[in-house]
Amino acid sequence: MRGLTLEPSSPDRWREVRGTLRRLLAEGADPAGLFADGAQGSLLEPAPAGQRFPTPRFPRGWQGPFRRVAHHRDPDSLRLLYRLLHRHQTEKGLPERALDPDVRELVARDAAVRRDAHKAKAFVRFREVAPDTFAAWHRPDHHVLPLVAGFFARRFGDRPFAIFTPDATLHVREGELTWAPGAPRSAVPDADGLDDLWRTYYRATFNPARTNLKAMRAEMPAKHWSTLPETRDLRALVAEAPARVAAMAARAERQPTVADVLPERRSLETLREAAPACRACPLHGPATQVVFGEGPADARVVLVGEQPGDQEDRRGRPFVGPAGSLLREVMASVGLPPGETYLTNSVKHFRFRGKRRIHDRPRAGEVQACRPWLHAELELVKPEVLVLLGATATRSLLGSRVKFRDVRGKVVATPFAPHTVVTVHPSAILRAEDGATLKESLSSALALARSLLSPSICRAATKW
Amino acid sequence: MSLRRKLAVLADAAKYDASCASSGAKGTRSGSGLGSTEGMGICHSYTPDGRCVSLLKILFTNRCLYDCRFCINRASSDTERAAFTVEEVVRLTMDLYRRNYIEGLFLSSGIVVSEDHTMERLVEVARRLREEERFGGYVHLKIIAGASPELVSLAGRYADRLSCNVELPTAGDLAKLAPEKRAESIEGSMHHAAEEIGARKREKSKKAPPFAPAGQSTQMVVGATPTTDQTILRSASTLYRSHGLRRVYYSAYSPIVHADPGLPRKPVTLLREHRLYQADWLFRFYGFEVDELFEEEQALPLDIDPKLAWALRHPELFPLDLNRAPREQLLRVPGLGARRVDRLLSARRQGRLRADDLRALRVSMPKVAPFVHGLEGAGAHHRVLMRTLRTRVQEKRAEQLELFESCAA
Repeated sequence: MRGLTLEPSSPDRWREVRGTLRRLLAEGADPAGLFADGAQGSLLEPAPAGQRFPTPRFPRGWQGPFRRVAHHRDPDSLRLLYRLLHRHQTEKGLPERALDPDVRELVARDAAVRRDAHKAKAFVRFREVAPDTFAAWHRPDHHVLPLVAGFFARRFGDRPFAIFTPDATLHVREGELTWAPGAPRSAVPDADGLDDLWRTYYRATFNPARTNLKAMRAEMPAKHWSTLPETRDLRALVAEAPARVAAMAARAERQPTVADVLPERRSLETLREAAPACRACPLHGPATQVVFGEGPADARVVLVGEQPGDQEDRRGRPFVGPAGSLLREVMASVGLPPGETYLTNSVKHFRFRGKRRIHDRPRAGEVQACRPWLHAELELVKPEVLVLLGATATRSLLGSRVKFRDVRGKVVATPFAPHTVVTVHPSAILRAEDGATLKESLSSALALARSLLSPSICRAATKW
Repeated sequence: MSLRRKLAVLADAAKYDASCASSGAKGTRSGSGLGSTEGMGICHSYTPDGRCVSLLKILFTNRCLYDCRFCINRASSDTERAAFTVEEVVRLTMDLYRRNYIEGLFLSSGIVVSEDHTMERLVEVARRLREEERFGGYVHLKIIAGASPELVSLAGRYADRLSCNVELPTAGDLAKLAPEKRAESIEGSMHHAAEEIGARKREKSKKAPPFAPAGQSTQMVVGATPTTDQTILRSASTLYRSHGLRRVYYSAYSPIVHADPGLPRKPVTLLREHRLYQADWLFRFYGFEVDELFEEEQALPLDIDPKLAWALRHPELFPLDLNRAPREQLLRVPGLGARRVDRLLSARRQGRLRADDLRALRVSMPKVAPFVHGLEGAGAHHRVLMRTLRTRVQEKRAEQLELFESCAA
């Protein structure tokens, strides 16, 4: 019987193992007669300097796995490598035999070393031990430091650094790699000035709604946690996760929305009945009543204004004040029949200031809160032409990036109707000095809307 | 605002982007000082949600002109706002990288002033990292849809990966929930990046400067609208084909603070997201067509994986002879992955496979047995197993339904 041992962590481990394997093969050693036991000491004499052994038959596909398995911590790995090499000299097609127990063992041990090397690349953490000088301590399962030395030198070689492991230490300075014996964890300080920022990042990037500790443990084995500062926050992060999720849900819960009152079965009637219960914005408080849209459910044209005014608020109907009369007058003049038109507003409650009930522009949050009502109306009526009156309606349905002045008087594309026309609000005409010009543009916009309607015959046909 | 507070706000704001890959960039940039890219991605940590932490994933700023309903950073949300300076992002990246905390930087941003203005900031960070700091690590830049093609070209010169998010599966969804975003400008930016990536690939000279060597990806939020799984996967498949994307990420919608009232209150189940990824793999690596995965239902079943569901719908195609069936058929056997299939094929060349051999190859017999025959040493007949499997699935579904109905009542 002969024993096989090697220095536990030699930087040139693969070359030594390869030399040993070649020599054993040249000597015709019987794989069954070898034992591997570090305690016994090597019965092999070191290869005499300059002596070379013939290169044996060696499959190309084994180069990587052999090199890696040579760094496996179990000394029995060397016996496995020699047995495979020995068998390969006489057995044909051994490397392809995925079911052979030795080949399977090679694959399994290779995977273990590869994973360990990968984890070393991931979890080695450098501390700045002197200005622009870095050091890390890491405990791998196998003797992987020689396997990853090149990676670290390529990546971090522009500054001096050292990686300490219990088996060996690697120093890199100006492209020069030097090796020293292993060191305990105390060789490298536990903290670094940047830890605080890193932990801040780690806490912020975690989504408490998706806690999955099993997945985390599988990928980040607890034995590495001692050198990973972020793991000190784990307990707190996990403990507070349910509370954070609950707080988020409660916050959403406390804020009433249109969804709370939107009826399941949708028709203009059910919507109108549900609207008075809406608490999605605070406007329902001061206003007299909700002012819902008005018109036939199969209207071909929908006109959207801003919000009800004083008159509308008192009477509960849209466009019945001064601006409404003006609008109805212009509609009549271009031949937009009221019977085929649905009138509504972006916001369904009146917003006003002071005792004299002065009109006050609705805020973006209120427009947004009310938008689901408008969407629901448009989905039911499905107009052929949609007319947006003024900046508020435009912002509500086209978004805040679209500038009203850029689209005014134009036909734009929206998902709500085949054609959408943007124009001024009738109340702007009442306020403006050159009301006549504005009235002219409202009139031409409505005429344009009228002309965009398909001939009624088509409409009748699609209705059948 | 302190750097620490900015980092907390802007990392929190960026975490809804699912992309974390740091892979695909082969060969480190020439002239690099600190950092390398070596093809394979590395995860330097894992958060308790099981997600990998590979890149410093942050927004340049979470101020935004847009009002996308599903997004926590939309203009009308009252979330806390912050903005980095170019210098701060460069320092953070270099310092964290130096300590081996990260593989590199993932930089996105809310839109401030204009699309071009925002994109210029992102490009400037990448330029400083590459040209002044000689940073050789991984850089993933977000393309701001609608930014000028010149800026996209510059971004590709400095970045390893580019991504332009389609955000939602269909143009209709986009119009509803992201009124300021235009499907055409998103596609336009993607198209421009794809053209440049393609041109660089055809370039023979090794000295030509790299252009986004790790390609481009995109992300869509699923479950914020009623759009079906089938439509989602059709969109994804079109994206893969027309823009040569490396990845489409699906992000299950989870309710955000100050959510828009039009959005679902409950989170989309993570299982749905998982099933979408499984289906994505099936049409990319297993030879399935998207529409094969659906029958009448336009949703993927949640209780079983899409491949098993397909196989149960097609009993006429099974059992397969494991010793004879070609690769493309083996790939369709539930329980056999692509790598397992390749090992099976190579083992098959050595002689007839027996049931024991499959166990040695770590094939799960209970999963595979109902769909194969011709194995010596296998237990019960596949037909019996198939029947048992079907009954079990049906029973489970009935149970679920009962449970659901009793809850509803």
